[in-house]
Amino acid sequence: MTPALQQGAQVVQLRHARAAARFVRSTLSIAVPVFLVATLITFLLGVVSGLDPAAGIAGDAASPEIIARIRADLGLDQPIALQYLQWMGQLLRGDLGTSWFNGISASELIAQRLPISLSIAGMALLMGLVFGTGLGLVAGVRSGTRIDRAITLFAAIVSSLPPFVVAFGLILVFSLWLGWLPSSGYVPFSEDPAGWLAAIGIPAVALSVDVVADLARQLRTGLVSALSENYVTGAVVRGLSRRRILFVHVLRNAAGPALTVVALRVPMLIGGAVVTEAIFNMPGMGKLAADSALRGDVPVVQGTLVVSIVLILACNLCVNVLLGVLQPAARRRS
Amino acid sequence: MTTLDNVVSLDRRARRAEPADPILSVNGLRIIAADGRELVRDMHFNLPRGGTLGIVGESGSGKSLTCRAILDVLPPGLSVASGSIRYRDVDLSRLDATSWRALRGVELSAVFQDPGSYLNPSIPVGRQLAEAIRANLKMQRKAARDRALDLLGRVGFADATAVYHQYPYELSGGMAQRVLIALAICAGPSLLIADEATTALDVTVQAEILALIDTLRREEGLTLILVSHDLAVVSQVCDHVIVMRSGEIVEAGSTREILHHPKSAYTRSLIDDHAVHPIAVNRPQSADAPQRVPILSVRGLHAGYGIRTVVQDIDLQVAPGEILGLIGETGSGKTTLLRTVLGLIPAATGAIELDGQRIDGLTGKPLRDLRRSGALQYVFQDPLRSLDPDLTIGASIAEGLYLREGRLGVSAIDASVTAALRAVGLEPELSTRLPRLLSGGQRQRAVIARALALEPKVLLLDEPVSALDAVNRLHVLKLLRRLADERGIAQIFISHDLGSVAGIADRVAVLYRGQVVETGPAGALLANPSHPYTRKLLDSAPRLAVAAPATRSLFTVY
Repeated sequence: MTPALQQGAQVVQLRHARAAARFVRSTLSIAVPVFLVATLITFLLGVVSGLDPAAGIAGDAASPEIIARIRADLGLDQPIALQYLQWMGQLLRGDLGTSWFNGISASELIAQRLPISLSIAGMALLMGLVFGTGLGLVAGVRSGTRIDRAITLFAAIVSSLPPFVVAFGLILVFSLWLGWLPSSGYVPFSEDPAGWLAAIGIPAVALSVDVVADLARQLRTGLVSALSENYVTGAVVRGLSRRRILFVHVLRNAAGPALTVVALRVPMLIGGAVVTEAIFNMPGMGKLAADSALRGDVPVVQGTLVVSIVLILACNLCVNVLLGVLQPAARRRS
Repeated sequence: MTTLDNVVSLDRRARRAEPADPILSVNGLRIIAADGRELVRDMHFNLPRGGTLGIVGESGSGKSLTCRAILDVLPPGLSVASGSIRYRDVDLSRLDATSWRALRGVELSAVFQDPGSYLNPSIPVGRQLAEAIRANLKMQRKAARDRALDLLGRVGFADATAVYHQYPYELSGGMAQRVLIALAICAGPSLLIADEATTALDVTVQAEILALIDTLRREEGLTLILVSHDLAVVSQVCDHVIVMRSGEIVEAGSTREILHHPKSAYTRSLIDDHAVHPIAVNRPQSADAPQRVPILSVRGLHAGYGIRTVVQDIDLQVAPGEILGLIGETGSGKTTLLRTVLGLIPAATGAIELDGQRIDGLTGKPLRDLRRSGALQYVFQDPLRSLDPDLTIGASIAEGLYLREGRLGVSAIDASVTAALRAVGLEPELSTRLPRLLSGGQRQRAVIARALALEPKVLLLDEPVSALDAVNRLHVLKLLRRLADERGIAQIFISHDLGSVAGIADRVAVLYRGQVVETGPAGALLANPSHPYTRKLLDSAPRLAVAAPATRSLFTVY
């Protein structure tokens, strides 16, 4: 290869590297403002709640001077802008503040409960991905057949059922009638993996049905349209196998909208954890947020919100990167 | 299965030693749609090894369907109802999926129109090429990569390594077709089907691609089926031609016979299409006419997208009743120029005047008023995409009228719609139809009727006849000429087809890399171009091959 030719290849690769850098920049340029605005709202929620821990801490007989001193200790007498900067500074160092209710650090409270919520949401996401992809693939490839219609009907029915209805139905069948799975409680994975799976089984399935239905429908649509593209005919004429055409060529181009749907579903999985944890009486982060809100424990509520924001943004970033890898054309548009 | 194994295991050289048997024979082929409509009837031919067969016909004639039936990639809903297709001694209708896979790419191969769409948009083209090589030749990754680079060089890329890493969207139409050709020949097939492979490419690129196909055909000993709506394209490469119309063979024979002694009137019309342009006669040459005041004039115009300047220093005038032909290859700035005149792209510098009024730089209400007045109208290449699919033809035409003068009342607008449809030669009854229920020619007339209803002073036409077959193209060209002559509508007409431009334009401007390199009366300029680029454009235009290659007696149509 002559130097001039090598240069040509390098120019192309450089252009692609630049496009990738542009893609990363544009993704971050969305994620950072979203993080700032969402955390600002979280902070302001605490301010407008009008809740003040000082009176509670000082007790009934406290004099106004004592209350003022406690307020000063907590920094609540500072201007709001300054309070925000301090709060954000702590947050970026991983300090979510201290519970007004029991004085335990919010990070610690959340860290205790996060594994439970993550277990349920993560398992629900995993099941949603596996079954949604499977059903979507079958329906897309066999579009127009009876099995396609059956899958489409199934998706329409389950997506019209709220997760808590599905949860009660599953409890009725698997806990009360069959007695296979517990209807409440949580066992850490480290203590008993089988018990852990049994405990999160029903809540995870209940949460995952929406993901399954959405993903299956979106993937089916994407596959049907991608299968009618000219490049599929081109690949057939080139003598490639059906399996290779489906998994290497078609799926790659059909997966985009389906992945986007999954990304949109992640916040709902985390939100859904609040309801399911209440139903199954599990001490997860959702339950912590609900209990703390009822107690007026502002730092803990804010902490759970910030953790949720970070989780959702991280998931969206992952999906965006995956989309960029699968479909370089998407980079060009951004 | 067993027959195929025998075929594939035969030594290729041994097979080539006996040229007597046809490599492909099609017999009584009948293709039907799901609703039972017959799309191809009694298609038949024998193609000898190394032969070159051209299939010519307008859109809907069944030429492409025949090819797709041979490759077993008919569109959904269509099927072969009867007839046989034999490749060597294999009956293709009896093949299972595994045998088809062994045959495609290795024995039969194809390239198509709109080559970019036949490549996976998400994978660099070199990797797609290496993939096809590995799938068909069972090569190792490294060897496949080397072969892919080698093939990219053979199809004319000086910098194969760079192209290897490029995505389809980074390639021009001509480059994409070269990649598709490399893909088609990567496993050394015997039969190559080129289905409208040069259609919609620039004339210069079209000539290069045709030459490439012809060279590779000789080098590789390929048997070739070349399908085109353009008899000239086919006549340059093929020794035999089948002319199809409405799913049937109209005429078949050696290229020489067809060109010199066409038996059917239809074939003669295809030949005439290239020889002279009947509409060019009987009209006053504007060069002789007294100098008229231009209705539209462009002076010192620079425009582009963002910081990229696409057209530079453009000076153009069109007088009422005059048609200015604008020619140049893809990327020369033709469309950008029209879009700038229309106000869709802001002019960087320079002036655009319509009827003595500056129209460049208009924004807000003055721009909206200008657009509503309908004085400036635009017709795009693809009529289906320029009509709202959910509006009837009548509603599409009435919309602009209603916006401009709603007070006219329904009956007056209806009358205008009817008049506009009549003026373009469409039945007023069509106004209740949806665009997709019309033929391509009818749709483009409907788009012109929509423009006409607003009584424009200037019509900007961007490749208005490129998507039409020969017959419809001629009708629309005649219509445009009449609108200029009878209604005095000035027109700027973009086409990559020099024949169309020569047929209707009074004057021609040649655009090259964003600049007008030559302008003058159509007849004089095209007969005697002074700029080397114009000469190259004219030389690349497909012509009927007068001295056709010697006929081969083995080719039979019976």
